Amino acid sequence: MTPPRLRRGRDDISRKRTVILNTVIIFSFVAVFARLTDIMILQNRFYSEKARSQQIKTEDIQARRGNIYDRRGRDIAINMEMESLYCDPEETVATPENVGKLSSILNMEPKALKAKLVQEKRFVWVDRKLSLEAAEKIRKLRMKGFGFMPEAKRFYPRAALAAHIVGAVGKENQPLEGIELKYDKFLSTPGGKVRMARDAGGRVLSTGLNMETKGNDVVLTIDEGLQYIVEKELDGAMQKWRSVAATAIMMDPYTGEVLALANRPAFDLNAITRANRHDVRNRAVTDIYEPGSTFKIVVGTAAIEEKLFPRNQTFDCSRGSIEVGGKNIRDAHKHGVLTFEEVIQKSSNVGSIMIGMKLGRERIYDYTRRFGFGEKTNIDLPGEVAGWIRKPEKWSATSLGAIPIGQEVAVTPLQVLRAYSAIANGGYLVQPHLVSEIRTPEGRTIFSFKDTEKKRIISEKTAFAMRDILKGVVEEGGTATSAAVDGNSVAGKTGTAQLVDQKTKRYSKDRFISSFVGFVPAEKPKIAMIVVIHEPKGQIYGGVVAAPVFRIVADQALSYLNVPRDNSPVKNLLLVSR
Amino acid sequence: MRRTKKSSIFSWVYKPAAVAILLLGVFGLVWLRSSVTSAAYSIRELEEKRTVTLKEMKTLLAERSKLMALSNIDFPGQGDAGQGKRLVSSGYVFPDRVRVIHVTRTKGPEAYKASYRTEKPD
Repeated sequence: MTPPRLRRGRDDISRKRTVILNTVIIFSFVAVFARLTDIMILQNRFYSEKARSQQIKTEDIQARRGNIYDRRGRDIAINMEMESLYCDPEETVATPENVGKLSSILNMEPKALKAKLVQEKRFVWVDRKLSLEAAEKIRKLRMKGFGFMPEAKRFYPRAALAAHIVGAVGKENQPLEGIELKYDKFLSTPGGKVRMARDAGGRVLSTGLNMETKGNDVVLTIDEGLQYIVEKELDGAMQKWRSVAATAIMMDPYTGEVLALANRPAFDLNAITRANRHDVRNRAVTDIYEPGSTFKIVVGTAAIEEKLFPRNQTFDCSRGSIEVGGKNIRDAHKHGVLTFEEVIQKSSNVGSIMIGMKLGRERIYDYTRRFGFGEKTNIDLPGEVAGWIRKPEKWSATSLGAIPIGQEVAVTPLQVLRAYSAIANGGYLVQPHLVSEIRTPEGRTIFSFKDTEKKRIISEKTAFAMRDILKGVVEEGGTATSAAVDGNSVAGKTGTAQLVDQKTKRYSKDRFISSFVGFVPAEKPKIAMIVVIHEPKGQIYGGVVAAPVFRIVADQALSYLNVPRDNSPVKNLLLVSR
Repeated sequence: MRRTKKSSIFSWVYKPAAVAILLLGVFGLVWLRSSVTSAAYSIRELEEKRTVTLKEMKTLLAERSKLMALSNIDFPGQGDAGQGKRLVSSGYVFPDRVRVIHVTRTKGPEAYKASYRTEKPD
């Protein structure tokens, strides 16, 4: 049996131990509590931020430009999904082996690549907009410090087709030219960011949100088929006449819908950065030229509208020249005595000037403006110029001899085509346009081109009288028999304008602009078209250089559009059989 | 009030049962929540797969669009044309508007009637 003294001693020790243990436990709790207070209250902000950065991931909502389609819904501009490679140079290991593998996939100089990998930054773009295949190859290398970011690349499946209409975008998808620039506010869309929860393994929680946003789609009035025909034949003409440049525009003369618009030289939309600056210029709306004889419809139409001459009026052009303000203006060939119709059909300068002199300055100026010369057509393309014509009070002594034959005025090919469309459609000045519709990505139409109030510039009677005269230009005895299309009557006018020699400041004797503008079928036109060839070699006349291009294009276009021949017994649905 | 024997038995059975049900409920809720979270992760993985598939689809559609361009149909061999080689159109033929079949649209919901019509010379 344990003595009482010894038992008391043990009890004391036990009590002390208990006290110590309790004290330790209490202090431990206090310490834990203090630490928790420190973490949860005093350093709340710091740890909250840390937790958020670990648990929350911010991802970009990818912004994609809207697509561009032709009038039949064919892709003209779309987006391709690409991957951009970046690296954190502090984490990357730029061993010669790694650099070698990567440079062969990226097709990049190893030296240039290594320079990127050793920069003193935490984020460096290694290469932008890689194909998905290349990105997959790099992923398989499992190299530390590299990452990918999805990016869209604008892709033009038709390459150079309709290049001057569509325009293009830069590396950052910023609009540079054409429809891409004009309709950027519809095509582009802001991106955004979305916060997503993630676990310790980096797995991201679904938010159910769409991680991509797309701009509106734009539907053009152009038709890929017609555009292709025009461009192909323009290439042929450029080659044949070894010309410096060429332009062709095809339009529906009733609605102003541009069906095709092409310039040469052109450029590949997918490689605009490599394109020559001059090739990118849309000559159809940005370049002015003296229209030459195609301008004679202004005085001709004015004379008919003003009932200036009786139908049997003749003009003595047998001298082959006329003097105006001390300047002698000649015809290309001597014509003899011509009727009013023949003055236009044979494109007599002398006869046109006689008509112009009878009209007088004010009326010539008035009709020039009525046809829309000297002002922008307001086509939906950037960079359009208005051209110019001086006010009558500023005309020189020779102006009355120059303006009726298309000199001392500057026009764009589109302005000339619009003027001829007014003859074709019975006297209305139409609004040329390239966009027919804008749709949301869901397919809802938010813009549709509506004909504004049509502006009548001449009476229907005058328009049809001039149309019949223009038909004569393409018939036997006219200047453009080579524009005649088999099966359909054509109405049009040739133009051969001299260019000004920059050295002598006089009209050049060997540099010309040849053009033909017309519409077909003449009675109820489906297309109006202008062909302008700059500085052809070998031949200069519009009837020889530009008119055949019109014929070839019109012939194919009418087939493409299933337009019946004028003598067709049934004017209804038409199928063509071989 | 005195407790009866019966009530003490009920108390002995029901109280633990109630606690067990409560615990099960709590654990059930936790399990359900974790399942929902897990499903959300799975959905996200599927979304990522869909994104990759859509990207591939877009690439293929772009490729198809390129191949369907009229210039490719007209000159199918242009990719092989080297310097100095002349391209020959072989794919795009415009119809001849002289030899035609005229199809008249009938009134009413009948099928189109097509027939060869011999054009009388003018």
